[in-house]
Amino acid sequence: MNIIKAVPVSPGIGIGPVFCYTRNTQITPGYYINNVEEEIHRYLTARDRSVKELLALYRQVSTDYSEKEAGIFEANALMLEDEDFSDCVVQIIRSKNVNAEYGVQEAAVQFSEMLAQTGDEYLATRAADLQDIAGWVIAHLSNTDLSLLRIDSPAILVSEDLFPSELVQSDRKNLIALVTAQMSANSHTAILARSMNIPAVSGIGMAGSQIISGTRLVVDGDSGAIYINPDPKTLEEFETMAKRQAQERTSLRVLVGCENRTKDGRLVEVYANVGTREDIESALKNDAGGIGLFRSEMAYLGRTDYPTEDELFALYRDAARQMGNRRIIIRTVDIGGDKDAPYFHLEKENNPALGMRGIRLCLARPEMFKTQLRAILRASVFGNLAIMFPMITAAFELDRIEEILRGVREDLMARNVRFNEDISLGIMIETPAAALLSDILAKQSSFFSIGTNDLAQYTLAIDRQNPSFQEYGDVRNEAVLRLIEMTIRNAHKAGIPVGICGELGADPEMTAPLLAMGIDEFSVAPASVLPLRKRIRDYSSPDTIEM
Amino acid sequence: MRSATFIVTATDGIHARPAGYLVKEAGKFQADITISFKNKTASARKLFELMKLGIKQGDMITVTADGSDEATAIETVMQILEANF
Repeated sequence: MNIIKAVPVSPGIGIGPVFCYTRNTQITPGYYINNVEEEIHRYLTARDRSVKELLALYRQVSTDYSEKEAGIFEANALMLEDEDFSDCVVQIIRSKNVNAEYGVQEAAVQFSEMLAQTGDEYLATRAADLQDIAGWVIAHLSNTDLSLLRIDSPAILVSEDLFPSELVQSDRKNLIALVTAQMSANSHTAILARSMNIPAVSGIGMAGSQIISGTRLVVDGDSGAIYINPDPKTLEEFETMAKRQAQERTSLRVLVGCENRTKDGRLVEVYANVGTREDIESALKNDAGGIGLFRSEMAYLGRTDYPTEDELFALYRDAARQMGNRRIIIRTVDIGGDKDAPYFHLEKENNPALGMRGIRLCLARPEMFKTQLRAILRASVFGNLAIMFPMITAAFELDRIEEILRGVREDLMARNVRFNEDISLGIMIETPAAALLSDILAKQSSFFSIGTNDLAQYTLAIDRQNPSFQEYGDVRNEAVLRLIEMTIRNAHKAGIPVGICGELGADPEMTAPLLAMGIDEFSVAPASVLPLRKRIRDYSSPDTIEM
Repeated sequence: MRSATFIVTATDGIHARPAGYLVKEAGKFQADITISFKNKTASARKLFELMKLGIKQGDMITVTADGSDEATAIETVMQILEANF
């Protein structure tokens, strides 16, 4: 057995024999021709046929998967139809007296180089699309079969790379998994593989050369590992896992579209925690009722300067549109503590978890805070947005936030920008102070969300980052549970809902106790939404609540 | 002939997909539509020309339309690129 560690691209487990695929990349023969007009006509006919087929593929993938993922085929058709591209092909045929195949190939090379010269990374990758469409036209010209990728029996496809068109035209039934030497997780092929539920790994590089057709493989799309000629023990392990995953998928999938209603009829919300655009897609796929925690600091990390108001606006607006009517609770930037971005130039502290972080940072940098609030308010007309403030410890912080928000609203009104004036404002309950003062804080908030990880850290005086005190840092500690219970009671007295967005919310053993305490909303990782829904639907409240 | 200058807020700027959509929509108008950015001008009917402009989110561009339906043409382009201001 040989193990290769590659990059996971699409989740799931695939077990089966290898089918090696090499694209027919023979160099198009160029030759001189006598009748230029006839050659041009030949090109135009092949081009029009290719455009028609690409558009048919676009419609097929739109119906079978999604319009968004099909878009690449429409874009490719438009490239082929482009006047400049066709003019270039015709001009090459005419000026050099060469065959149409050569003209198309040459034009594709010229246009790829032109895109590469822009220095734009994204445009440079469009060169692959040009190759794809050129190959399409050339196949028609030379009457070769286009669907070269024909898999006759179930197999794991191993190839250098794969065009989206090759993937969607292959026989899905016989495609167990996908292994490629190069493919980014963001490529169209990768996105398609995920929506087709085909496990895929990539980046095997030279290691691919040891894999020949017929070899047995186990592909783990979650970890990116590939097992070549797996031993019986490994094989059995993965077969069991694959079977379990398949069962779980089908038993949970039936819960999509179902209510989160307990057996005794109480409805609760199950939302998702997200940080990126992909997370939102995943939240929707798992039928989350909303986003209970939008980690807005993600947009501030991994860069060299603050994001601009327009950048943030576009991010929130897109999220709002993606989620439609479903609620999105955006937590204002929570940098500091364990999350740092160099351009913030945070002062070094002995106890960063107890220092400049969360709302303290927002209030200390009003310009940054206002920029974010303006962006959220501007995006608020595109969907169902709410704002949540992190690390609250006292009522005066809420007074300051209100004052800043007033200024932001006036700014926007002066700029004649529309926004939702009744946007819901809530706070995180993640410090013992906030839990203890929850009756007072409830008067100034329209909802609470309990962050159990920090609440446990601050209640139990345990550093989350330090693994040596694990046994003292149990999130389920009675002290933490009492604070949660108190928060829920005070919130309900004031008539506002309470959610939970920490790890505790996804803990299978905590679903029942939290429901018994009266929690209104859970927000968990997208993949935990359906398992949680199942537990909620299995729950009925006991007559007495034991704490 | 009329023109409008605005900031592009579409997340992807004028990359392959939005450019493709723009080309498709521009073809429906009688008016000639051009887009200018940084001293370069491209016809809104030409995909590669548009892509070559390298327009990204936040860039300020000028759209010019000339023809009987120029007003709606400009409005449509602004909608596609989600003009701000």
